[in-house]
Amino acid sequence: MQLLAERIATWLGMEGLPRQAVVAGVVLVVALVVATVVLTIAGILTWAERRVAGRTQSRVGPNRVGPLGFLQWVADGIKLITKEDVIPAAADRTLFRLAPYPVIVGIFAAFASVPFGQKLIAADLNVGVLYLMAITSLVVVGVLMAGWASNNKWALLGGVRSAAQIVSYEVPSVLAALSVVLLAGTLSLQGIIGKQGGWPWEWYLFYNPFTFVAFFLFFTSAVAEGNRTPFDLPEAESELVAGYNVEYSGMRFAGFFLGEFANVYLLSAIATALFFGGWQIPGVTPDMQAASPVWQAVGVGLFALKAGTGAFVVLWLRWTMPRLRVDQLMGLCYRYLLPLSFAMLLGNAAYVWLVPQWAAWVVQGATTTVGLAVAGVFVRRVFYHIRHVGDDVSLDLARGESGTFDPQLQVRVYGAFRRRHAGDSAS
Amino acid sequence: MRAFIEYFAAIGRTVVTLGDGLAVTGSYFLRRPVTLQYPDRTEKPMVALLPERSRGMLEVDLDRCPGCTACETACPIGCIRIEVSKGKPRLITRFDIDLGRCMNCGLCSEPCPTECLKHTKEFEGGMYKPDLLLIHFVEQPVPVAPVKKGEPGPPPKPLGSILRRLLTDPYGRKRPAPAPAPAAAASAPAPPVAVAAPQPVSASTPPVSATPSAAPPSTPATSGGPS
Amino acid sequence: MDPYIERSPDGAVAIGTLDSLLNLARKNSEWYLLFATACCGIELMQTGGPRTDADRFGFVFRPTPRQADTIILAGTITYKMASRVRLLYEQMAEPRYVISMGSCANTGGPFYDSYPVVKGGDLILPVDVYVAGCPPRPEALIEALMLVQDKMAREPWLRKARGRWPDPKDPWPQPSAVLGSCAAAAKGPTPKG
Ligand code: SF4
Ligand code: SF4
Ligand code: SF4
Repeated sequence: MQLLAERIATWLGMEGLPRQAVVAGVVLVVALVVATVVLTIAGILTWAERRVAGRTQSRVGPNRVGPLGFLQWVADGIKLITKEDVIPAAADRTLFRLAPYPVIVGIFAAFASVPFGQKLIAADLNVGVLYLMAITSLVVVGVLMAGWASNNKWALLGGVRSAAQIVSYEVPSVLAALSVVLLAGTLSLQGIIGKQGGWPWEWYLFYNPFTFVAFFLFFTSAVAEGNRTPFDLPEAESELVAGYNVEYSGMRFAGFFLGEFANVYLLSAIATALFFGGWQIPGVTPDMQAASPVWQAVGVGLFALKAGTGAFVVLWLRWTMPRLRVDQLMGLCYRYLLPLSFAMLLGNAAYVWLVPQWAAWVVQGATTTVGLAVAGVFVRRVFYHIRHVGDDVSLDLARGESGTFDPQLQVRVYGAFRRRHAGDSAS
Repeated sequence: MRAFIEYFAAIGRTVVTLGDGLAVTGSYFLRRPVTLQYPDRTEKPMVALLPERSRGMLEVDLDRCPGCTACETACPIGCIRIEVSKGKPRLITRFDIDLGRCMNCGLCSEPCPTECLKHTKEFEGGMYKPDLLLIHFVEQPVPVAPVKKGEPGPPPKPLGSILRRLLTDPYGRKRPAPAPAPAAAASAPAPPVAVAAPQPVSASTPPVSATPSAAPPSTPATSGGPS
Repeated sequence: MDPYIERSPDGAVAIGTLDSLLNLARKNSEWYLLFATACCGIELMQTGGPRTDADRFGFVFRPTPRQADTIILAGTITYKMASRVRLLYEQMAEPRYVISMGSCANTGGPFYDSYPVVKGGDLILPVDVYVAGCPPRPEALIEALMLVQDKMAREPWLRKARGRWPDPKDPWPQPSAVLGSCAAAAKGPTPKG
């Protein structure tokens, strides 16, 4: 950050100014830029979530505000600003007002060290992974504050659940990330990305079987840390109304809301950096990328694509899975994720220690093959379900004589009924 | 050992079922949505898409009604009110149906001897005032129709045409023009111009009909509602 | 006429536009409370379902009244429930709107002479839109939500928040000419997306 500040100061011809002033100014500007970018990303994700939810449930999703309903998040945001900011009479007013800020700060500050591109990073910390894990824990403070200050039993239960959940799942997610740190030998995210390559078999995801499993452990725990379905117990609608933000309205609610969605992108971005090669472009070395702004832009785009895909999977997961029970949630963490991530860490250590380079190439190739085979099986299942689900569910009946009317479909749907009916009249 | 196997079997089951679940929902991304985009993006007016026997709001064809008041008697919640004058000719002076109370049960249309009281397929009954849902079918007293049970009587009017004429818009103003009959809309192919009509950005309110003559009410109602 | 025009000639247009912009946002993000008291609630849930997708217009349900804009009185309201309904309404953040869905909430409906039933939701809440039907079709509820949208568009929020509206001399803006004639509005084949 300071280096960046000095560079900018030199570029502006302002070496004469006091150094602290320049640093403060640059920090402010960078923070504003990051906040704007994060807000936009979170807003777009809320729209994406609703589109994904729509298509998953055979509906359309928002499609009236702007092209494909894209401006829906703007409308929601402006609406939330205009709403009254209710503070319940029995609430702890100060805490209630303060509670959204730790959530926002925790998530937004984490974005400072997310490597969006080779040069596009606000602060390349040499303890990047550690910093990310630490600063996102601020969210717990905000959620607990919100739960406590609302003076509402649903909110309190939601806050306590969230705290228990985030603290528990922190452990497996850090352990799974440590596997990668062990292989890369650095905590800096740029360093970790630099050790990987552009092609899929150069990613840490397919480095060896242990990292392959570690990725899924990391992803699961990160989803749980972000309070996303199927781990969204803190805001379970069916039991806790809206969880810790049940008493929040207007802008303060928007803070929680955007924080949640920014967290989705954050966890995908971290997973991209750790396991998916970040901004590395296939066939382009980091040196080549550093030399050319075009490759820089491509790298940024690739990172956004990978992280966006990850976020899409999180949204997709949300509309697939039912919610876990509290005991199942804790059982999953302590009986499965924690031992497995320990095992993966040890396995990686042994791998680094024992396996020679030529064998590592073979393992890498084999893991990639297995991974692609799994993906292939998955795609096959998708097409299987397209063919086989829906044969006995007709959704086109009310379209009447329009173009989509399919008499054969009706025959299939009501075939059993008609056969029985025919038998009745014959007898 | 058994516990060990069960442990890993549970993991395997989780992975397989979760993957298959994702495949099921993923298959829906590749299918067409089933949504009928109600106000303006349906292929035909929504009324034409409803099932044949769907029971919407009631309408009565006074040209065929002999004023027998069987429907008034039959209605379990008394939301039909008929007044027939004595003397010659007998006049129907009042035929009100409170659509704001009617429960679309159909008990009134069953005993109707001439089938002049029928359920239409109309369903759009949003009003800013509840009184607007009380429909007065008699505008001026009409003589009772000399139709007996079993006789054909005058030909029935298109379903819903009477109701659409009497139902006001949400402000209580007359609707400008009768909507085209569903049958006509069904047979006529949509003109290409209408297909290509661009959607405005905020297409969330139904498109406003071109009726500059419709006078706006003097003061818009506030959110205070009726006192 | 318009107080803003008199006070700041330069900013007048901007403020007027700001009000319509806010209204555009407000009406396209109308969140309704997931609350129902009787059988109409089934249709209320169906409204968010695949066939009549309320989310197309940005109508999503919120489970908590603090975050909802519209409360839909979906169903029979008993006297015992009336105080709770009122409480839910009072917990909502301004600006808030009420839809009375179905005969029961309009007038008491089939239970018009029943001793425990409130004879109309407007006895306890300031209802904005009444929907006929028992239950109303999901499409009818969509129409009602759109009527609330129209009502939102007719309320200059900024001016109202500053106590300058309603102003009998300035009925801003004009209500749209005809609403509710959705049946005539069909446009041809369903576009993608
Ligand atoms: S449909 Fe039922 S409730 Fe409605 S008027 Fe007829 S009998 Fe009465
Ligand atoms: S039952 Fe039919 S014919 Fe008799 S009064 Fe009612 S509408 Fe008229
Ligand atoms: S109006 Fe009809 S459907 Fe709705 S709550 Fe009342 S009885 Fe049930």
